[in-house]
Amino acid sequence: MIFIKIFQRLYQFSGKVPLEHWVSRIAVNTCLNQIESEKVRPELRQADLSEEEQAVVENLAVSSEELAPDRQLTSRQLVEHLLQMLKPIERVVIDLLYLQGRSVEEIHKITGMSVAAIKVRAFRARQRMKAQLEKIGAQTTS
Amino acid sequence: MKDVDLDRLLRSAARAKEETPVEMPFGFDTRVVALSRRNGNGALFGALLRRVAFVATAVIVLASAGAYFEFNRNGDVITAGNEFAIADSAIQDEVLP
Repeated sequence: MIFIKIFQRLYQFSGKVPLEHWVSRIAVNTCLNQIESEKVRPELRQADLSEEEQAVVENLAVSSEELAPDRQLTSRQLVEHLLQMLKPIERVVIDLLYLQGRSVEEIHKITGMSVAAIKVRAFRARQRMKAQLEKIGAQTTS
Repeated sequence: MKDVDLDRLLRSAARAKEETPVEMPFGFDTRVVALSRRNGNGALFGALLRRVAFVATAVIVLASAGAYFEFNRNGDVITAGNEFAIADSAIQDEVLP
């Protein structure tokens, strides 16, 4: 994303400052904007999901069986949507714990967070994800 | 929605391999060049190309001159070596019975 912004704004480069400074300024601004946009965390709505993702939500509500292999990619996309609603640190915990299948000890070594903090964040993140899924499920069935 | 439902979703998501494109999007380079030209950087690219061509030509000329010089020098050595060998052979013929 940073490189694309640099290409898009090449015409703004006056040459009065070193190129490294100009590039680093764009990189820093892009990162700050990203952090700001992540702080907003708007609520996920049914309309934000594709038909396949809505079908996965329905499937979760009506069936207790494992999701079919051809739904894996859609499940991943749905989880990515749900992760967007979480705080960055919660996202990291869920990603490491459930998507990458790492143990709490490994996450402790990677992130430096205490084991208790990891468990608490994972629990809270799960609660948020579950609440979001419930809301979407209610919209889908109504 | 129960915990087990979320677990099922997460398990399914974990099994899906992340599909990240390993190549540039189609036509990305063309769009970048077009955007750059539109922004008036065409002259910049032209100047860069001219400089590259000039440096490349200079390198080719220098390399050719060096190769020619080396070739000639080796030829001299070989010629001189042959002359010495002929002279030596003649001396040997004269001196030795």
